[in-house]
Amino acid sequence: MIEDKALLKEYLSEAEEFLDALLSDLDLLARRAGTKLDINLVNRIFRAVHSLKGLSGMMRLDEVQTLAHEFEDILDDLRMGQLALDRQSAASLQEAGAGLASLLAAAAKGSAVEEDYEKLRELISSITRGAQARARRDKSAVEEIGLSERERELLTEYEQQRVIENYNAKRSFYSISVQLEAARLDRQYRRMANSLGEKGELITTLPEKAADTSKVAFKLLFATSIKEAQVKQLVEAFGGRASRMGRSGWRRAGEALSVVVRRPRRDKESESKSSTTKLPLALGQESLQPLSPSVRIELAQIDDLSGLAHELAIEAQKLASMADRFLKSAGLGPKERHDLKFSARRIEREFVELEERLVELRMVSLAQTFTRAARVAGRLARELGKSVSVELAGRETQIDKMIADRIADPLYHILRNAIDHGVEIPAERRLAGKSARGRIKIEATLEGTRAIMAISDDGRGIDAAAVRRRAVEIGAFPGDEELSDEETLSLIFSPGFSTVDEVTALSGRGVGLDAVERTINELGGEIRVSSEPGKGTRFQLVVPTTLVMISAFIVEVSHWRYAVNVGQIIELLYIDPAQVSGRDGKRTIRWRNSNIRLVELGYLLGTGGARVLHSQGSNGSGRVPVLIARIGERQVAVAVDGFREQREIIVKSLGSLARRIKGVTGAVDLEGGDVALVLDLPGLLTRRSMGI
Amino acid sequence: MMEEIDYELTDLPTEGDISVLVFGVGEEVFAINVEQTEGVVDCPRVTPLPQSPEHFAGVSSVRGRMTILIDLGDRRAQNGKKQRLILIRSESQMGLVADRVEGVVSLTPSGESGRSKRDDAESISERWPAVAHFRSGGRAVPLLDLERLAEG
Repeated sequence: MIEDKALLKEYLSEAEEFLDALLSDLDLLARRAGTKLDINLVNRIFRAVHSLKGLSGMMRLDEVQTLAHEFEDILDDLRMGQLALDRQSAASLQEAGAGLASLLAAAAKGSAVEEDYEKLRELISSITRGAQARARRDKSAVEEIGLSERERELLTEYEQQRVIENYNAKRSFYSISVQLEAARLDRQYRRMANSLGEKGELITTLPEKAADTSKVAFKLLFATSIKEAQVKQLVEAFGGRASRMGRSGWRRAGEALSVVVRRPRRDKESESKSSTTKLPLALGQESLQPLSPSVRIELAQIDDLSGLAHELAIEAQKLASMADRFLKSAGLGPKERHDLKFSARRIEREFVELEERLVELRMVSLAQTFTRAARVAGRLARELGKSVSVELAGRETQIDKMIADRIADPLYHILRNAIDHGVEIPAERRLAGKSARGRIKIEATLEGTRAIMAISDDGRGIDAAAVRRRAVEIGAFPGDEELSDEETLSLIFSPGFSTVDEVTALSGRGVGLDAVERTINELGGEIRVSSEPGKGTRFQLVVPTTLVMISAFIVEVSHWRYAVNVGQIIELLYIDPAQVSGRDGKRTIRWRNSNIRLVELGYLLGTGGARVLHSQGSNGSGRVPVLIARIGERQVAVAVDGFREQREIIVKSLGSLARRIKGVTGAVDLEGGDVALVLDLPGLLTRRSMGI
Repeated sequence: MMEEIDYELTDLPTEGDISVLVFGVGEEVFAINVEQTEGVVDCPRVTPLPQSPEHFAGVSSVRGRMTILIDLGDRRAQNGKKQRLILIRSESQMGLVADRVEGVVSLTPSGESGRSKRDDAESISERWPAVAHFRSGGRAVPLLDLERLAEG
């Protein structure tokens, strides 16, 4: 049972989404039973069950997690061709899905009883028994296809299944060796995989040892119907070599493997058992009651509301200052004065609170990200023949949804590095006097308005001398300066950095820690690393807990750039100075058949006085760039020195110190370390008492 | 370390030792509690902050965070000199511009804490808020009150 009510709400809300998808896909699967199996549909169902399993595990609903795992096994057999789907098994799967839905809600609320679990367990095992699908896999055939022992181990069940299907389709198999430049690995690999995918099926990509450290070597298993000469020509275009694999070997492999997926014979006992299995009402009947009272809304909708709340807050500020003026001139009595002042201030305060509450709506806990990270870590460790325990702490830490999404890749990248390069293999660990099982800890803490996610391992640590040498090699550091340990380690974030001779398929992929650092910096955060040789390494991702992304237009004034929310701009235009009427602070222009005020951004910002507009012009043409801004119901023309470009920006807070500076809502990082202030034109114009 | 500094506390409101970072801006010398600092970096390019108090030199992006630079000296007197930025640990995201960072010293109250000697120290600057003052090489050094400084 989940005690924490907020957590329960979040769990049910998220589970409901997966259950909806699961039940609707199971219906579709049942309708298509007896026709060609749609692998994509089964994969989708698998993913939904897998997500429910993860969620349940995260909530410590172990029984539900186990049942979801068993459900997964059935789906796995189905997609591997080891279980035949007929109408009966499809209907049983539907029942099991509905049973899982009702059990999950009951377990979360603590109302599930052992009998409920037992009934679902029995249903799931009856599906498996009914299919009688499991056959011992004959690995010997795969051995004959000419792959090494290591390569054979890396071939997943799914890939083996693809070998059989391609064999049955009478395609030829090729072993392709290719070396790609590490620096352009991603792009080159994608191009090659796309080309091969157009002509056949790329079954697997296995890493190889490259002779040249600047390159990454792969061996690809490719099945196709095109001619051998065409395959060779296709592969040579990428500098690779293709050799056709022995047909006899493949035939034997295919035949042997196809035994595994032949439709199993149904024995009568299990069939009758399967057909008579009925779920009790409470479990089998899917309730029409929603699991959660929550609604899910798009982040963009919250952003719209935030924008609206901000506009209202500005209007409220104007109202409050008008109220102040009236207090002096309206001849009101003491009570009226007090009431007016009180109401105006209260409205102002409540709009600010509304804005803050809307920011809170975007916050999510790190539980899901962390649980996924732990799962990924376990899988990677298994793939690499390592044993790792992952400890999670601070999962309840709340950060902006967008930040939580953006940090996932950097987090996984560091985790992969920790498992691939940090944690030693068991034998090496024992020699170093460590337990065979490596330890990884992922921990989140709050530091003021920033969240710190620390990923630490007890592996071999980072060799600072090697880092220094490598940094000099790639020109990231001249090598003639004394650096502290911290400074030396930070060189691993240099573009093109890698101290391992062989870039493995797991951690390589051409994405370096420089990309990780860039992502974190773009979020307004920083990355720190510390390491002790032989003891382990610790990375810290420091990010703000909240942020706001807006579409902004960048303008230039007095050689400085400023960002303006495009929502505040109606139109961009160039005006002829001759169009300007009036002078000094009372200039107007004609726009859409009415006269509107013209002010200069330089004047509003205090960087310059009113210009003599006729001598100006951003491009020497004498025309003045002007943006028409929306200030409540009115429009104001704001003259600038130049237009730059429109872009999506992450607005970074200027901290508590800047809160009293009206007209500036934050700042954004620009190229070359420059900063552009994000302006709030209504706030700026109101503050400067433009009478607008 | 700046071991040559001799110091004498005046009105430091604490009983234990504290470490302070001593830095100079123009002719003046200031100190801040080391625990309130996050590090010292080269002063990056500064973007002016419009209509802000005079001592706000502007905004810079430091370690991915927007930082407001506080300049305790005369902005016009910089003449393009290389300056340092002392990062302050607080939600105010503030950094103090320094012409030179002289070092860290440990201050021990002399048992006279609570008795102000401000009256004796004619050269103490009253321009910036301080929680305490101490003497160093004949100079009166204010230990800055960052909270009040942030309030302006």
